[in-house]
Amino acid sequence: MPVRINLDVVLAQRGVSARDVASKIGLSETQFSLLRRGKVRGVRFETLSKLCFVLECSPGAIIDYEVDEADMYPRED
Amino acid sequence: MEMRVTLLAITPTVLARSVIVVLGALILFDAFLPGFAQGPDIPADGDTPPAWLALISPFIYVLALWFLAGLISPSSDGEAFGRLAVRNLRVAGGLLLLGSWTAIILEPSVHHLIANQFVEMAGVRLAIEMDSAVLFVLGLLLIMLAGRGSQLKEQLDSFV
Repeated sequence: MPVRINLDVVLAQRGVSARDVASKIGLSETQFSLLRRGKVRGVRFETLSKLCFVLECSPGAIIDYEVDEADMYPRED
Repeated sequence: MEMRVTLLAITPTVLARSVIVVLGALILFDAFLPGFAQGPDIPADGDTPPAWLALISPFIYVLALWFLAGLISPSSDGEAFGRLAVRNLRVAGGLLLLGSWTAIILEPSVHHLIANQFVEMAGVRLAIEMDSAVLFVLGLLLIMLAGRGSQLKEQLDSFV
């Protein structure tokens, strides 16, 4: 599932710390860290909206997709 | 005014558990105070199990209700299928299984031993009744529900 989270890049571009953003959008630092590393199963629209508001960007800046045909087949896990 | 505030502070769980305590007391009175309930008088002969033996499974069921009462509290852990709710469901399910097992196997077997004054020690007596069987199935369902709820909660927690 080649959906990539580019949060680290956006954070660096905006010059804000992960801790500040996490507290502003109401996530724990652990949850935010998991999100940055793409280790979550999904992102709620509510969280995404808050992220976009705080980082002044669109969802496309945070989430990227690389085409992979394997995505059309059921995953093992 | 102060009393009114105190009354408003009673949570549904406390209320339910108070009812359960009264229920437990009623079961005790019914067993040990002759004529307390309006039921038929049963002669205390060898065919009637001793009161303490017949009380085991009802009290296990009451204990199961005690844990189930923990589920109706909105502040138990603030969310559906939280750690505390799952534990309460599991314990209540386990107690229902234990209570029905006691009613079906333990009580009749111990009663048999007492009735023959421990002369005939072999054999298991069964008292399979519909209510005990239903409670056994309910206990299993509660445990399965706890497992499923726990899984769902885990999945939900993996969304940020």
